[in-house]
Amino acid sequence: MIKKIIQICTILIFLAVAILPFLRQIGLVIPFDKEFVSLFDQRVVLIFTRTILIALGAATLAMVIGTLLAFLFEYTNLPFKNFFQTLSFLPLLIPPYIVTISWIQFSFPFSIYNPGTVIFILGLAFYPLVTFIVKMALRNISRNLEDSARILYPLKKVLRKITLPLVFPHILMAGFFVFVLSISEYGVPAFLRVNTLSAEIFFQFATFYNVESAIILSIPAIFLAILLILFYNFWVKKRCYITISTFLKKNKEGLKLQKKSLIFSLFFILAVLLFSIIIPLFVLFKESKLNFVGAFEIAGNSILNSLWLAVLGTTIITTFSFFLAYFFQKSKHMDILILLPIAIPASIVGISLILFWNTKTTQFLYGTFWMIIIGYFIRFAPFSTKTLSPFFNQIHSSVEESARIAGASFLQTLKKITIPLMKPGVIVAWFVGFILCLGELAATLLLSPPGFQTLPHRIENLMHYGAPETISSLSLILVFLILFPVGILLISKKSSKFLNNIYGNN
Amino acid sequence: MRKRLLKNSAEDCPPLSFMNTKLIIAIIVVVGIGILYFLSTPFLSTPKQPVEKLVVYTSRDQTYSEPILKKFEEETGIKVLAVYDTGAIKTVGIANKLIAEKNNPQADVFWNSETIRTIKLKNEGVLASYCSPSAQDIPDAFKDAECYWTGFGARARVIIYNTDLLTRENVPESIFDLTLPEWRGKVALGRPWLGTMSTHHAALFLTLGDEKAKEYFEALKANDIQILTGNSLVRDSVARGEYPVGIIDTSDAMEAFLRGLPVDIVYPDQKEDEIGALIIPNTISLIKNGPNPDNGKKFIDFMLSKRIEQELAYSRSSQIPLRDDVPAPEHVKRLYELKVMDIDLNAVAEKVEESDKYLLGLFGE
Repeated sequence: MIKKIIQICTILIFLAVAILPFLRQIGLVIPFDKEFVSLFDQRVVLIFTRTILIALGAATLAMVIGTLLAFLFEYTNLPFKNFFQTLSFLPLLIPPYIVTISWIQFSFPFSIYNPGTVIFILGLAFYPLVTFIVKMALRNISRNLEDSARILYPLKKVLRKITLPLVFPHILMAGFFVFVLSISEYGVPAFLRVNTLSAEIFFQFATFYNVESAIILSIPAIFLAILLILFYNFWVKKRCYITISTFLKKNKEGLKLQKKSLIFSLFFILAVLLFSIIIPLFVLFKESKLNFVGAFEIAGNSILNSLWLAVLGTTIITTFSFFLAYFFQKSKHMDILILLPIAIPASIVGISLILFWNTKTTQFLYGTFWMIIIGYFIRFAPFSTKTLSPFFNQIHSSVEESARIAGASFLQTLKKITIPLMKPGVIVAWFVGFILCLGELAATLLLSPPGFQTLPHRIENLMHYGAPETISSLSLILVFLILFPVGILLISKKSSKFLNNIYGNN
Repeated sequence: MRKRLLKNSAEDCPPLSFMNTKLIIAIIVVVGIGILYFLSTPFLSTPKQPVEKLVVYTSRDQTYSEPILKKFEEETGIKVLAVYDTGAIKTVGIANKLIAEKNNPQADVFWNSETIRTIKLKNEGVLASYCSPSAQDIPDAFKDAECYWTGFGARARVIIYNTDLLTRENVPESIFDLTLPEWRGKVALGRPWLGTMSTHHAALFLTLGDEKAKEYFEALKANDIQILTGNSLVRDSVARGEYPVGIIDTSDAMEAFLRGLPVDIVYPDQKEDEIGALIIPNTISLIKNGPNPDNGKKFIDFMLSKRIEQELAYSRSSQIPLRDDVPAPEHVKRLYELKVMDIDLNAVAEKVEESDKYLLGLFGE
């Protein structure tokens, strides 16, 4: 009974908050007139193709780097592993366009203004998403499967034949995120003078004030995203990924790296870190002239605003996504609905929400920060839900069923069985959401109530004014502030290690 | 019995330590949110008792607009709530927000850093007419005949050059010189169909006629003109010496100049038979059916006063006063010292969509 009620509430809220405003907008542009055809001239088709290729390239790069790192961190005796892990997480915290600016200021002997650089920067900016998701997935695999294979084969072969296929859905999902994020990225290609779809959509707004054309231009990308997800579902659903059968956590059996592969691995990690975090951070430090106090005076409010808004928004999104993923992980039709918002450009999300909520009766909500949270929700709940659902796939329904047979109510089962099993997934989803919320700009700008500002918004303002010290200092402050929740993660990691020991001794 | 079974199984595997971790995380998160919320409350909550307030949407850089809004707040006691647009990486922007909010307006005043977008808003029915007493001595060319908007503190489209790479004599005196072979690949320009670039180019279409204007832009393209994202990037890359010259607004150029970077500007096409430099004023307008119209009018009167125009002239963005009797520093040229492009801003606003489409097709591949 309670289960049904929660299920119905979840779906109703999702439809009302996330889907309705956008459907109304779509409804306005259907029926398409001849404008529809004339928008997609040769130039736009070229730009569209270029955007897709860039996004595919960035996703591939991020998947390769991210997966390799995750395996190195989880299965090898790499020295300074914790240090490297923390560092490799940082690129997510620096907005990619700020990294781009630091690259532009670096003088190269060759021209960096080409799509290749865009792929390079985006891939290096987003690979931590892949690392993080895959790492948690690896940690969640029961050791039974690996152990039985180990009896017959060396670990390397087990990793290739057993472990990698098991986490492949997670890798693909993370790659899909990078793909979608790369399509909607505006700043990086703009600074590198590469025209992409997001810029084209922006021109329809900024130059021609044409919401309809902007929506029409974004429809192919939305379709493509949904198509990819359908392929993914078709491919994943035929297989069985149930890997958690008990509470048993494994002790990692380290792959001892030989001297040659150790040097190679270290070289690889250092190269990735050098390009993705060390050089950008170095440039930021140099540019900031350590003007932190001044920067805090200018943007203190917006830093605080950004932080609590992101924490609150992410917590709401993660909670909600948990139920969404829980109830609808096996429904293909729901998948399309859940993922519909993922590829809607942020500016269209913003405009649709204004048109939907800005009425006399909903004024109490419209003039407040809740609008920003709704914006976060629409943009990032799909990410959160899709991060969680591969983790749900790892749990066999028998686990819950036996709890129910033993007499536990739905809520008790949820509390004692499902949530504890899902803990790694929830942590991952929370952090993915937190980073995404913290960096959101385009929708936030349109939805901020008067007198309210978030940090990315403030940084953008300063960039136009041309205050490199303040911008760099603020970016650094942002990086350090985010280390606060990362600290919490480390605490929880320590405790899970502690748990592992207990279970291991038993 | 059932309960006991559950209890026992809970004791068998010790989820207690896990619960503790979860508890700690939950407490930290809740306390964290709480602290952050209370720290930021003074900046976000609307005051409990009915205080006079005013909502201003502005596309003017926050760095310049915020102190002026604060000043108005101090002088009148009216609480100003602002929404600032972003500039460097353009987002959709508040002009679109104003259009979307038309049916239930949230803003009282729109302070725009340029003119064409304001005229667009007038045509969309977003603005209300208000003839401010402070606006009487502002030249008619820079205000709406029906008082839907009024211009003040302007910027000009000029040529910026790097003083380390070029001396004054070598700098082109006309924007048409930039199609010459000697400037091949050396000229930086913001995306030609955006912002003030778009205004400038629509004005060129009107002044030169469609045919000649298209010839000019094709020649620029053939001469490998470098298209950057916007004015601020043109400023930064010329100051860095990446390109020797660029076409830019005075407001952006002067920021770099006053910061001591190696740049200077040339007002283009100043000779007798040439077209002159384009002047684009800031505009201010009242929003139709805004929540606090009286405070909005007070703010418009305040903004159009001579002392504010003077303050804008003395700020780093060096706005050119539209009134000849407003004092300005030496590096800010006065309108009477300049040959100003003779153009009707309303006509530019009409032309802009057509010229933007052309330019997007030409440069936006």
